Amino acid sequence: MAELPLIGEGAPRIDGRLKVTGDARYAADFSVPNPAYAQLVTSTIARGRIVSLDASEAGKVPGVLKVYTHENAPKIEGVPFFGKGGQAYQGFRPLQGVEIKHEGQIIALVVAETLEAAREAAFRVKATYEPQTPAATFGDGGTETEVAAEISKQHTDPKTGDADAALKDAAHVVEAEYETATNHHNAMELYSTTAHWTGDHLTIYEPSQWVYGLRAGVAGELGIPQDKVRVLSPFTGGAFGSKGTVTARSALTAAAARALNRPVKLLVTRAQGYTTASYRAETKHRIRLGADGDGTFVGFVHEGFELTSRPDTFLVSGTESTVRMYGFKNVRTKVSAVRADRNTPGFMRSPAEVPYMFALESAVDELAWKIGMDPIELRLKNDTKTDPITGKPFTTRQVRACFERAKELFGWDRRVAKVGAMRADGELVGYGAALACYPTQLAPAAVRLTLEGKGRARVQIAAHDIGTGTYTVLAQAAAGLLGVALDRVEVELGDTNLPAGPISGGSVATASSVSAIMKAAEAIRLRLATAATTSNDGPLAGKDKESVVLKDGRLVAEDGTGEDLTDAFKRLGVGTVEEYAEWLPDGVDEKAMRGLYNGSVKIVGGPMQDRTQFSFGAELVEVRVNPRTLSIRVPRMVGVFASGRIMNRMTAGSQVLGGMVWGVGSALHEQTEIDRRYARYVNDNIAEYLVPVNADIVHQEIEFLEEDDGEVNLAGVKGLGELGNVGTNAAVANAVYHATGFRARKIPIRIEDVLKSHLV
Amino acid sequence: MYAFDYAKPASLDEAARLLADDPEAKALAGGQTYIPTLKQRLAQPTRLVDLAGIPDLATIKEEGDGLAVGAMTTHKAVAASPVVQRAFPELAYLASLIGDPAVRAMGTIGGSVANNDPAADYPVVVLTLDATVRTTKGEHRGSDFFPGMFETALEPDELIREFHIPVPEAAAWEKFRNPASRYALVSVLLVRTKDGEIRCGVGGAGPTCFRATAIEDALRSSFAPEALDGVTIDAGDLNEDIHATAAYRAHLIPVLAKRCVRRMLRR
Repeated sequence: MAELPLIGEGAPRIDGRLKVTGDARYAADFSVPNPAYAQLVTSTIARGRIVSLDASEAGKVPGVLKVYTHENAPKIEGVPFFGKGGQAYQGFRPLQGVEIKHEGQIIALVVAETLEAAREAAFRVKATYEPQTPAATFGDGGTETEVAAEISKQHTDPKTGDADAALKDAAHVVEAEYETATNHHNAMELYSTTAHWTGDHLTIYEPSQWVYGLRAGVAGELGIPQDKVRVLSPFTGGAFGSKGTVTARSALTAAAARALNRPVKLLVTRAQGYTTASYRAETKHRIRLGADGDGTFVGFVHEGFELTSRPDTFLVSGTESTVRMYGFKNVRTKVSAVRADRNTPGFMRSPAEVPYMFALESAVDELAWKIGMDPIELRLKNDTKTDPITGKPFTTRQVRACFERAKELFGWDRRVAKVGAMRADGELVGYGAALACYPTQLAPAAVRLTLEGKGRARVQIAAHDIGTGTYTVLAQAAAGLLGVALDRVEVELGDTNLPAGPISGGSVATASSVSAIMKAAEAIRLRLATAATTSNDGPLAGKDKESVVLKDGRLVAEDGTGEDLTDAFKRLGVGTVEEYAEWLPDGVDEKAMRGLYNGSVKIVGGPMQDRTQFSFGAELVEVRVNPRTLSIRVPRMVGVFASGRIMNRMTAGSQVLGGMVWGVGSALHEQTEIDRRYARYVNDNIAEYLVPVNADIVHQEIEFLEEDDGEVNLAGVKGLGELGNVGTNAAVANAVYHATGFRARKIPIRIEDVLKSHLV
Repeated sequence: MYAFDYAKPASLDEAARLLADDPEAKALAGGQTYIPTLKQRLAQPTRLVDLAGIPDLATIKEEGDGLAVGAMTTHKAVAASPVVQRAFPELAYLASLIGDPAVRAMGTIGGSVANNDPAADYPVVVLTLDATVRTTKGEHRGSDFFPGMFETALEPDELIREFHIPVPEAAAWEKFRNPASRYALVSVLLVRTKDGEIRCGVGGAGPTCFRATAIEDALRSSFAPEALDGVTIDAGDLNEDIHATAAYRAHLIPVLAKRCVRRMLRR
């Protein structure tokens, strides 16, 4: 088999030109014949019932075709909630009754000849409600707290030893509560659905991280066979988890298109996207972390509280990761769900690790100050080669190497181990560190790989490019394995007419897809090699077929003898070789492949039967705090990551750079503000939902360590889409403490919180 | 946007007549507030009467003790005007901080004053300097032009022709801007009139612009930043939103006023 380099070259995106010239076709860009336009109407109360919905004024707007309300909406079957093995973003289906479960719930769908008419009519739909007082968030009357292990069969709280007893005898203990804010993805590309029927066949154009799931979900909701539905999403303009599950709008749009007998295009506004799709819920954490006199951890307790909706239990349960970060001897964890009158939360980039690692990595820093130890030293002292819960080894774990290299790049040795002791340009300077991690997860994948005698190759897989560079890295994999130039490889993604690829979630896409490509490429090599080596003549006749590889447009043996691809194909008597391959991760049975085609997700990873697999990284940041205004800036960040084989140092670098930028947002900017009286999101637009801008990010340096992990999968790829923004928030908060003495246990850190502490 | 008719009259009289004929018609100046309002469906006019076709409304000239500024003069024109820069440089500075370049290129002084957004800047000028608002129906005094939020003394079919803005002896403008919208969270215009009177106008903080008499009183006895040390503003009537609490806005008023004092003393 051909070898891929451990750190692949930084090939620019092969779809870059399409994107910057506007030629890349996003879901809403597809034109359909004679489309009607749809607009959602959403509720203005968070809890209660609809008493009446008056659509008479809306119906009078010229060009309005139909106003669907709970009284005349098409029947939607409802597929199970994603968290229960289905595809749906939430278990509750709007428009099927009068119940209001959250603010901004869909209460009507207006379809008109033009977008303008649909919008105008939507504003004229009048709802009257019988409202009840909602519970908006933690601490509000009416919230219900339930222990995850008691309400969910799948949930177990990782545990080992007797943490409470160990903490009683510990020399140093940190006991603290941490909080993270509500966040929304705010992908540049808004949500949309276009539904087009031809006879009993339905084509859906929708930005998606999971086209097969969307197909299964919509088919299930409409009660039609899956093979009657095709989903297309060749480009997705940012998703971050928000476009993975099936929201209510898709089947509604398709049902409207069927009833009206013409294609329907639904465009969801930015504000409506806040309540009709998912988000990252706010969390709370109670941490107890103890060490003996020399800093060796003796016990760790992590209790997490996560906000969820009334109908659905969505939990990220990040204790599964935090308990594996250090050699904790004794661990106790507990995750609880807190129900409020909100839309169901969902996956958002590193769903579990962003909030839970903030808590852990802040607590580790607090403990380091308490003991009087360098916080990196404390982390390295408690590094472990085995999973503290299962006792199994990590496949690879370069935590020490990541921190050591990061320290070097950062100049950590300039750190003065005293609060407020470092100053530059009249500002307080703080250094902060945190560990980044992401479980190495995998999913089944199928691919069709084609090689032509003329040296052209094609990769076909219903994987997705959500802005991550999938087109490019899959082309690189095929080019490397088939020995052709990168610009000779064509990649097709995001279409249910293609072999089923993995959901673009959990950082599984590259590792799983490349593993399938390797399997298909090996089959192609073997066919050509067998023909060449068993032939009566030719330069490779009689050679060992295992020693023959595809390289530089040739079929060559180890000693360099070989022939051009055209000759090799001639021998085979064909112009093209096509191989379809299905790849299953370890510990997944063959039924999972049928499941993949039927929209059932099987993701495995992190702790496995015989091993535990994670990517790791070390993130170091410098903050500058103005001593008068207390404004916090992050002029410098260093990240060093070990994440198995890096397919493309440029796209991978962009991923973790962007991740760390997001981490700064998590620490200092991002928060969906909630009006607690109405359980309503206030800043539901990108003017008032703050994210870092260029001026907030000055200098970033990242590096990947070489890491050869043969155990995780065929490709040795660990996946890093979600690695970069883990821990950054804690690193920033830790640096703020170093600079000011203010311990931010709640993010985002606001100047007014720092002011209150007034230790500066 | 809702469907509406559009008219582009060639004279103010014709524009006023179009507005008088149809109570649901609305005048359009630079459109920097009104067009977004329409896009958000917060207004539903039957007809837009575009004032952009009327000649001679965008003039700036010196007139007696002040400046005569035409209603359709853009913020950009005020900021760049040599006449304003010489006679009343702080007004040019104020105009240069409104919105962004696109807003300044289109937005007009007349539109800003007639709209009376609580966070707008020109109403503070008109109020504080007691400017004369010359209209198609006569004249108004700036001191009684702004009865409340988004309200003015104008009648529905009354259009502003120009402003006469008395030039003060000295002035300082401080604006605490929302970093996204550039609207004032709080703004303060501090002036010493040619008669030696100290006036302090405040924008952004309340339902409409107002004079901070406590600050004026304190500065009358001693024109120094320290004179404002004990001055507090009652937060009771002030605006509160996700950007700032009423208490924070109240706090900002003397802070900005002090900055104004410092700048005036430095000159």
